[in-house]
Amino acid sequence: MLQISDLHVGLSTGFFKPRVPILHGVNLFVKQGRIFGFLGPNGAGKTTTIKTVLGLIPRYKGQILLNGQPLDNPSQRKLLGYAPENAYFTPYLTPMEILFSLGTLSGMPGSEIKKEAEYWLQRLNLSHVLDQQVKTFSKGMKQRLALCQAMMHKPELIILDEPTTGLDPIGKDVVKKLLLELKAAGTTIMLSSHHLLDVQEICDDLCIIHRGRVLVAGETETLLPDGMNLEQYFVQVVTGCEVNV
Amino acid sequence: MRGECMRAIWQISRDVLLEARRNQLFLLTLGLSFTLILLFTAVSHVEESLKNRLFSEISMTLLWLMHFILAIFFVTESLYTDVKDKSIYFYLVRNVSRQQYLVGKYLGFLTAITVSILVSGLTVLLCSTWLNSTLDVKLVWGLVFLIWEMALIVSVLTLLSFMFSKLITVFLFLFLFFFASLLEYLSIDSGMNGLLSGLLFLAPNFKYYSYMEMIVHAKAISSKYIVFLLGYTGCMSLFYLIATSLQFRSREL
Repeated sequence: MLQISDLHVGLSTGFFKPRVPILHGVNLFVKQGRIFGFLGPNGAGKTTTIKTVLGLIPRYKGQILLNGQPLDNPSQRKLLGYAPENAYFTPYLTPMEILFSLGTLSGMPGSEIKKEAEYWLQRLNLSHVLDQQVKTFSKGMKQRLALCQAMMHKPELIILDEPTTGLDPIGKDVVKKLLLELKAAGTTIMLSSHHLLDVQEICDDLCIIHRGRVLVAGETETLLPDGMNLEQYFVQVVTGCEVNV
Repeated sequence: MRGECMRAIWQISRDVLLEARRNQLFLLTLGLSFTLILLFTAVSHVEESLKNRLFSEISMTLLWLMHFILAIFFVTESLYTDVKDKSIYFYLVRNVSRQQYLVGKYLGFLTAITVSILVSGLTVLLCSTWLNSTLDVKLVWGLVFLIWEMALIVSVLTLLSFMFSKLITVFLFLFLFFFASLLEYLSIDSGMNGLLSGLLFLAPNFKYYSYMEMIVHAKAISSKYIVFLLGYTGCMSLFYLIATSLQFRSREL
């Protein structure tokens, strides 16, 4: 599905300043129809990797392929859905206007946009604020709207950066069930999160990245030693310390 | 393919128009323009000496000033917030190129400001016709020139907004504007040598003094001048948009 090979990314820190290397040869493979947990401590390079895949960081070395095709072409992005951490929308628009606009940009016909928008807003408990401007929304409501726009055009691969940030426990539970439903329907999901016990519960595959390098990658069941949960394993891998089980 | 490209540009412009319709700065500018024009019309009706030339001068300057301020704050705020709050991500992760986003935003800003100029300009025309009992065609040309000027202003602001923070953009733009206006004033007042003429041509010159002088002093507006101004504005706006596109193409978001 998504293949990242030898990805090197350096970010600019200002005019006439050298680029700071962030990713040092990242290799990943996200398999079709599975949930892929992309983990790492703060500043590990998770968001930079995701932004490079999405074309938001245009200068990089390496290869990014989706279904064997390079992702540089914007038309390939039709196959992607994305919800960022801390979602912000144009504050004066309503959820329906935002979903209509983004649905159109994803190439959906008007009648389908309406149907899908209503369905997803209902699913994520936003149907009571259809005509309310986004500037009045709480953080959790914006996050749920971001999930709606990521899913409404039925993408093949959904990339979620901290999707449960700002959500209450009920919202988190709704999202977790939703992701499992999408997986059952054949959608591939790449998920970055710090809620490791939730990740352990729903992810089929895992990758832990630290300081721009992949430390471990593989199937969740195979990676986790007996009797150790993902939080303990994560700490062990990242700090290199043995954790008493 | 072309249809998809145009649809993306249209959709992004439409979002800007929706945003403008509910933006308080926009509504405040329109409200203030109406209030000031009507107030000044009332004063002109009572005071005979204010009719004709002074009414034209003050109402056109008023329209220019209000939309100048509107353009600076609306464009800068919208583009800066899009990038800072990352709402731009929702567009660019779809089947939308950065060029389409840029053109869509530019056309949206320009259309919104044009609508505002036309609405308040129509009020000026109605008031002027009521005061003087004739339609002043030069005021119509004044509105057309004002829209062209805004096309250039928005393109310069777009470039600066993608390069600098909000505050620096406003300061740099004001510096550029006053520098170009000073050169324009010098050229009208005392003529210019080759170097200054070259600078005047290359700077984003808004030709404000030229057309305002023509309208206020009731000078004939030649077709040659109209063609020059249209060509100049078109080429300079395009130049700034291409520069923005080149800068934006490699930008990390």
